[in-house]
Formats: sequence, C-alpha cells, structure tokens
Amino acid sequence: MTAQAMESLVFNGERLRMCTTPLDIYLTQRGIQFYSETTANWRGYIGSWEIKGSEEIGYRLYLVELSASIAYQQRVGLDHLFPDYPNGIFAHWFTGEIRCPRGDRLHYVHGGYASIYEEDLFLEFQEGVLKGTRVVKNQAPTPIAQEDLPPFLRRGG
Amino acid sequence: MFEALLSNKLALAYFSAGPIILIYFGIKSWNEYRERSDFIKSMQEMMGSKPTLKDQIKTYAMYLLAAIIILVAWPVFVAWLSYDKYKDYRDMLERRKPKFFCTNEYLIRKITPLEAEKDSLVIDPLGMAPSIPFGHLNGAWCEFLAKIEVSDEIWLYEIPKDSITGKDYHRATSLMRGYAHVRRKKIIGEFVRQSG
Repeated sequence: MTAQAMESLVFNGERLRMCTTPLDIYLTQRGIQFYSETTANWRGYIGSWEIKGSEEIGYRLYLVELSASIAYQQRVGLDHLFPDYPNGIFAHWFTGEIRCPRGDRLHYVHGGYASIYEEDLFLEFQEGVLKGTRVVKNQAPTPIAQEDLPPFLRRGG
Repeated sequence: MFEALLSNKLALAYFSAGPIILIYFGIKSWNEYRERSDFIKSMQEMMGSKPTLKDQIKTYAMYLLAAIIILVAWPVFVAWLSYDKYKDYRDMLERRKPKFFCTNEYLIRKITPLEAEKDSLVIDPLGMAPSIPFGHLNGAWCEFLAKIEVSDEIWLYEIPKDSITGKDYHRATSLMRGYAHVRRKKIIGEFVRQSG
C-alpha cells in the first residue's frame, strides 16, 4: 500500500498534517464511498480540519473543507455531504486521538501513515471535544544490516 | 463356503470402488487442466521453464502414489475429500457473514430508542451541528431504526480501546460506543455513535 495523503488541521494558528481520518466513521455509517483517483489516496477525499472554540465553551473539532472525488476528475466539496452546513461541521462522533506529525521526515515507509517524523503531536478528543494533548519525540529506526535480512530482501551487488 | 463367498464379494466390492473413484477424479482433473483460462495458460507458459527428467519422474511418481492410495485406501481419500469440501463450505459461510465492529461480548444492556435518544442530543455553541439526537448522524440513526422489527432488540455496546473486534479483525484505536440491532440473539446491524 502506498503512503497515504494526509488531512490538514489548523490548531492554535499552526497548520498541521494529520495522520487520522475522523470522517471515515461518518462515511461508513452513511454507506458513502468516494472514488479513488490515485493509490496515494485510497479513501478518495482530503479533509481540512480546524480546532475552534475557547476556554469557556471548550475546543472542538470541525471539518471546514472537503475535496472528494465522486468519479474521475469530478470533485465535490463539503456541501455535497452537508448541504445545510457548507462552512463547516462539528465532528461530534469523533472519540480518540489524532496524530499530527511535525518536523522533518526521519524515515519513509511506503504504506499508510507509517512514516516517522521528528515528533508527533497527539490530540485527544471525546465526542469531538478536545480533552488533552501530548507530544512524542521520535528517532529514526536503526538501519538493518544487509546480512541480517533474509536473502530475498538483500540488495543485489 | 457361504462365508468365504460373502467375504470374496465384500473384497470385490471394496476393491471395485477404488478404480471407479480413480477414474472419476482422473477425468475431472483432466477436464480442469484442459479448461484452464487463456490467462492461466499464458502465465504457465511464461513462468514454466522446461521440466527436467528428474521433475517428470517426480511428478509421475506422485501420481502413481496417489493412485495406489486411492485404489487401496479409498475410504481415507473420500473422508479427506469430504472434510476438504466441508472446510470450503464453512469458509464460504464465514465470508458471507455480515461483519460488524460489535460482537456479542461487547453488548451492555437492552435499550429503547427513546432512552438512546435522550442522552444523545448534540449541542454545538458554534451552530455547526443540528441540535437533534445524534446530530449529523441522525440520518444514519433513522436508517438504523427503520430496520428494527417489533420482536427485535436494541442493545447498547461499548468496545474498549485496543480491542480486536469483529469487522475484519479491526483494532479499536479508541473507545467505540453505539447500538446493536439484535434479532434472535444475533447482531444483524449496528449504529456507531462515537469512535476514533
């Protein structure tokens, strides 16, 4: 599987990349599947998210933009899914962590969101409301010596 | 005299069955070989280097061994074949089963639609969600309810984080909560209220 296109997220004025796809569960429930135009985006859409709010009302997760394919070179936006909310929707169904990689990429993995970046910012949500954040510093994995690999994975020489 | 005749007849019947089974499977295998698709034929031609004499001897030896086993111990072969067919059938049933995130072990309690809706009103201070039960998921909830029949039950379920759940052995990356549509103690539908 090819590395997948990330969603984007604006949090505290910072534009982040997102290795989580909170819209998926909504689409599954509604039986909606978008058209994949590229192997780098099997889900067929890219969402732009924003955390909005204040100390009083809490900080919440909103989907503010969507670019989804319904057929080859036919793209639709947020109003296609939510005609009454074209400017954004509150992702109240989302409970869990969002992973936002930051810094340089230390190690590329050709699949999903498995590549490793300098650090990951994790944002914890409960029913769409931000509950906490944590940062995890990463290190590049130690390269495996050629002789430790099975013969069929070794580089030809 | 009679006993000897009977045992001869039984032996004859036993050893007659072997060749019949052997001929049947011989014809079946030959037909399958002849009816290979063009794609398979071209792939086999592309991949297959010419077999050596040793390869050919090995192949014929295997056929000979299989034929002897079928002729002498055909009940074992029939039993193995039946088991193989049963396994195929069981796998086919497993593949056809509808798969849900929720399985029986995560069911908590029976609940009425009214109870479920009572604590599910979504209120967003920025007005970006409808103030109705389950907010943006209300349509999915209505679709879920529309499938409930009088004798069916709705159960609240909770799948703890990191559980490996039914749907394609999905790992729950967070707490999953929702409602299961249960008919005769079997889950036949689900509505996910919150998940990661």
